[in-house]
This record gives sequence, structure tokens and C-alpha cells, in this order.
Amino acid sequence: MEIVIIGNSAAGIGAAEAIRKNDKLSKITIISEEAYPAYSKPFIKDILSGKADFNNIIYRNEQFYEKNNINTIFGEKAVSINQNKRIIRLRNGKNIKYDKLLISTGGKTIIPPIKGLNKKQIFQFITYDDAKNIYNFIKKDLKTKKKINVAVIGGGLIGFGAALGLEKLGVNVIIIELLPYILSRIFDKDGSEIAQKIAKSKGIKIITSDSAVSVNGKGNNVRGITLKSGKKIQCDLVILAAGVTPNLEICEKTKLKTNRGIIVDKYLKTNIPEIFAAGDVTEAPDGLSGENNVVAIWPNAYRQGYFAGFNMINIKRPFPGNFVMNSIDLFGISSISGGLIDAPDKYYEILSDRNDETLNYKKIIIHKNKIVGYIFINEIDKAGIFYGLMLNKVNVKNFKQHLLKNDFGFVYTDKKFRKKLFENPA
Amino acid sequence: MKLVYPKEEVCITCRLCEIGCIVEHSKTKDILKAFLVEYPRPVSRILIEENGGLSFAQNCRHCEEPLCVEACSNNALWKDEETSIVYLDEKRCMSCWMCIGVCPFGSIKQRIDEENKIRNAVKCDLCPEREIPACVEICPNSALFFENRGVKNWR
Repeated sequence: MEIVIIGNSAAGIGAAEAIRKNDKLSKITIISEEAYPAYSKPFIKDILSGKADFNNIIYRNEQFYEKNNINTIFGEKAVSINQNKRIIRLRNGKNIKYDKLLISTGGKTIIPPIKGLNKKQIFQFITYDDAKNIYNFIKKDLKTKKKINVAVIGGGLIGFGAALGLEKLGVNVIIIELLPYILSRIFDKDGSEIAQKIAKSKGIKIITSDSAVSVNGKGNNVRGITLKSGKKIQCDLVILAAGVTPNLEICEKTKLKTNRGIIVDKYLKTNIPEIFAAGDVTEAPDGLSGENNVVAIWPNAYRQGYFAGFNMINIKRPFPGNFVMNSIDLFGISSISGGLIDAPDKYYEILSDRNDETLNYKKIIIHKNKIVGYIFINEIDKAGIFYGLMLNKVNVKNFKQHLLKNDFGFVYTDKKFRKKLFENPA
Repeated sequence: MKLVYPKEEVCITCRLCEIGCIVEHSKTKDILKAFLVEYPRPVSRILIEENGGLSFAQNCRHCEEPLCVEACSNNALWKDEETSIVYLDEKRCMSCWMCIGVCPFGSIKQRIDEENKIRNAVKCDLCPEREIPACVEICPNSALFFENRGVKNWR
């Protein structure tokens, strides 16, 4: 079988590894627009801060592709699919044939409707190159300027990640967030308040419930931004971090069913039988609700790719569904959240405990005695147990009262359950 | 593969397993030096969970399809092809704690030591330099076993 994978990040690698576990003979080709080996996208914030260089964040090196007999076409963009002839066309005009195709092209930056974006000092923040470009620009500018002001458009995961990197470079950072709370996808109001408090204590300025309407400048150099509220903010650099959306360019002129992302079923199959999709580009069944949604998180992307790989070589393995889990550093304070962050209605039970002095926050959301969401700030060491309980839809009725304990663990659960997990009795 | 299995009925909560683990992963491998002189002291990879009179030692299950390996975007976690041990390379760890966020057993620990600029995740490596893991060997009440009980797949 000739298998072609478009995209060389978590999902593409997950698929390749799953295929090679079971099939050493089929030809695998990975096409990637970026010319680099696969690297960790979450750690571009450490490239931005200068803490890491590319070698520290490599995900799979050259030997990986050699050892697994994977052909690579890096630095080349796949521009179209001829689904009748089963051919991918590259930007350089070359055609690549496939029997089975995986689209794992990830996400692209959402460009908000802001006037005046055609200026030099405006950056995105999703690739290694983005991070390196911002880093280089700041380092160069700091030679002539005493202080640099950076406006980060977006207070979600990307914007906050940028702020984490920038804080180490000694620049002034201001985050502009559209919603009333930053990090609203991963924290509720309480969690966000704590995160905001920590960020502000590190000198990060945050403006919420507002948005940038224009970038102002001298010629095509950035001098500042104007917000919807009328506020004018002086800045030397703007980072567009308002979110990502699936990169669907390759789907144009095909009959692939897309919504916000490429629609896939529980086998990661698209509406076209030989074409699969995995990772941030998909709209896949959710593990809790069963409805299709877009989830752009590294382990989820790898897992989608992994299950797609099995199904591509005709080993039927249903994907357990999208599960959201984020772990983010709040300037030295750990935090992990997963599943739902707010109760959708009164039929959901909430257990919570907040201590602003110790910056400890715990929140657990339960529905029909199953864990459907949780937030932990500061004490995260048992967070994975909640992920497992959520994934496996474990009934927590008998130990619900212990869930918020600092030393919560399996010792508080049913003996039979605990023994099944740890003693594997014959 | 052989894994470390607890027997909660005979666990006396002495926590010698944790001490054995710390000594094994110390520089000197000497119990007095590891606790009194060596700094920073390693973190134990096996942990006693305690609730009243009940306790048992909980450690990594070296899963067949490890969630921690899936979660690591920096290739710091992998399952060894020969031994099936799931290893964590502390030098490659970028302390994002995603592995801690997915391990359904809660087996991965944070090691944070501000003074010594240590900030990485830590997990059981089944003591590759020993015949029997340190925790199993030091347990005074036979509450830990190192055996092959067949593969199990609770993810």
C-alpha cells in the first residue's frame, strides 16, 4: 500500500508509528511545508524566551524516519488533491500517488478584522519561525531602544504562551482579550482570576472585554494600536494570538466534507473512503458529548493520528473520542484543566475549593456520578487520575466526598476497582 | 513484562519502599548520605497512598500504549522496544507536566527545586541496574512483588 501523510507534527507522526507497528512493508511518505524535522509546537514559547534552541525541542529526528523507513518531502507544500486519480500535487508541480491519504495539516492563525495589518512589526505565534522572528527582532531592537512594548492580541493559550516567553526578555507586555476573562477555554471565572492575578504580579498588563480595531504606525512601522473602547496603546510590536482554526486549504476543490474542520467519524475517516484526517485540522467525535468538535491539543492530535493509522491499514480501532486536557505554566505556578470547565446546567454537580493566599484552586464537575471536568491550580500531582476517571467514565459515587482531598488517590476508591488496576489478579 | 505489584493487605505504611527508591536514584546509593548529605535529594517514584489503616504502594504500570508517551511533545518519554520499560529523560523534559496530566494512575511526579534550578518530571524506571527493583527488595513485609502477571490495558 502507498500511504501519504500531509503534515509532520503530532498527528502525522502518530499515524506513521501506528502503521509501522503493524506494517513494515507499505510505503509511507510524509509531506511537510516546514523544512524542519518534527518539533514540539508547545515549546515555541521557550524559543521565544531564549531558554531553548531548536535542538531542545525536536520531536522526531532524522534517524526516526530512516529507522522506520519513512520517505520525507520537507519544505514542500501539498497544494491540491485529485481524489479520482488519487494524486497529491505539490507546489513544485510534482505528483505523489496514494492508496490511502492522511490529512494532518493542523491549524492556521485566525487573523482578526484589524485595520493596518500591513506593517513590519506584526507577527503570528504558532511556528518555530514565528517565535525565532520575534526573538530576533526584540534582541535587535533592544540594542537601540531602552524598553520595548509588545501588544499581544488574544489572552487565550497562544497569547498567554507568548506572554510567558516575552516576560523573560524584559519587554513590556500588554494582553488585549475580547472576552471578560483570559484563558476562558481552560479556566472558569475563578481560575482565570487567579491566573490574571499571577500574570499581573509579573508585570503583565491585561485589558479584557476589549479588542484591537487598528494598528497605527509611521509608514509601515508599528507605533501603536487603537482599541474598540477608544483606548490608544503605544507599542513597537504586535503579536496576533487570537486563536487558530483548522488549515483547510488542501480541501479546496475536493468533495471533502468540512465544517470548521474536516469532518471525520470514529475511525478518523472522511466522507471519501481512502482519505483520513487527524489532529488540529479535524472535527471529530467528542469523548464526552459524542458531537463532532475541533480540539487542538497535542496528545489528542497524536492519539487521533495513532488511531487513524490503524484504520488506514484496515485494522478497525474506534477512536475513544476527543478529550480536552491542558497543562499550562502560570509563571511558575502549575495548572491543569480537563473536560468541561463550567457546569452547563443545574444537573451538573460542582465541587470546589479556592484559596487565594496559597493560590490553590480545585474544581471538579460531575454529571450522573461521572467526572466530566476539572481544574487544578498549583497542586496538580493527581490531575492524571481525574483524566483517567473521566476517560473511562468511572462511577465516582462511592468516593465523591474524597475527591477534593490533597492526598486523593486510589486508596479512597473501591477495593475491587483498585485491585483491578494495580494487582491484576489472575 | 515484570511489573511491581502491591499487596495492600500486608502493607504496614512504613514507606521504606519510598526510601529505597530515593537511595537507588541517588548519587551515592548510600542511605545515610542520600538523606543527610546529598543535595538535592531525589524524589521517590513509588508513592504510598494512605487512608486510615489502609495503605498501598502505587507506581508506574509501564502501560502497553502509554498515555504519557502520547502526551510528551518533546520526545522525553518512550517505551523501550527491548525491555518494555517506559523511560523519562529528565534532561529533555521541559516541565510542561502534560504527562502528569494524562497518567491515569498518577504515577509521574514533579521534581521542583528552585534553588538548584531543577524543574522536571520523574517516573519509575524499574531500576534497570538491579535484578529486583529497590522498592520490592527493601519492603520488610512482602507487600510488593516483582512478577509477570500478564498485560493489562486500562488507559
